[in-house]
Amino acid sequence: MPTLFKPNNMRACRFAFALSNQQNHIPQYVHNPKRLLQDLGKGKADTSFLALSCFATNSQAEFFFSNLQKTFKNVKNSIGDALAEGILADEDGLKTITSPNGHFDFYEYEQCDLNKSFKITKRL
Amino acid sequence: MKQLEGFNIQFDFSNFKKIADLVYFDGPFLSHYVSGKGDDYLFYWVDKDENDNRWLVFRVSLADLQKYIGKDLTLRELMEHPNDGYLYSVDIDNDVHYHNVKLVQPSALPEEYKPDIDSYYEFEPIPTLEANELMTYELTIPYKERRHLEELLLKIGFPVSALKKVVTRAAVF
Repeated sequence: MPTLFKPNNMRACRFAFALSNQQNHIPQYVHNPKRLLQDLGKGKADTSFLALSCFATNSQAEFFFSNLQKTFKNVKNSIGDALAEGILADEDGLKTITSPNGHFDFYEYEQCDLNKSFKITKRL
Repeated sequence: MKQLEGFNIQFDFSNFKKIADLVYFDGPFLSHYVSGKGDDYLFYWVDKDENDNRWLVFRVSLADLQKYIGKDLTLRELMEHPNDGYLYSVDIDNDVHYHNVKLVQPSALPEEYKPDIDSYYEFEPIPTLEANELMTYELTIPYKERRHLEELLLKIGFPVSALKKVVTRAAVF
């Protein structure tokens, strides 16, 4: 596991699907448990797939998204077509260190549901 | 997903080994693989639906791959002039089964399956754990210096006979 920190009620944003709330804010291994089993079988399980990718600011997220979209025009179909913003409370979970491009992983506690606290703020 | 014009074929991807993810966000988007024959391929993600992710797979020379990583070539240029003259389109389902493999001409690709004209590399590669074993380097050593290199290698216990094997392939990292 990476070193983790309390989020200190920071504002953060994530890529999300504007029209399908149920798909949003679910770690990849939870969304696709088969992938977890396959990766475990290969000895290649990655804890970051149990986390949610976040950005510290919406401008960093938008910059990252536009870079991706230059190379992958359908990236919206994969990671989302909107930005969702909200507060990460200390009771919600723990975060990794924020990288220079603003990205960090957020490991939710069991009771956390960002669908309740994060709102779509912009279509991408 | 879009219906692609091309020829349905059988192609065995099972002996491909990943060298690195060149673009990664919550999963790979562009990856460098090496085939069982030692050829270098890029796997380029283009689309997805409920069941499948679609990838374009094409052979590249290491020199061109180095130019792409070094921002001297765009991904679009690499894709428009693949080494074999064509690309493979392959759909990979959630159980990692490869199917619907097609041979596709670059000119037949829809615009949404092509990177932008200025698609220079703006990311950080993530080598796989196995990459060290698969990675080799191409060295250009002036002839008059080769004897010194051989002497040095012998000193550190590296068999000179293995040198040719090592330098036959080059890597970009």
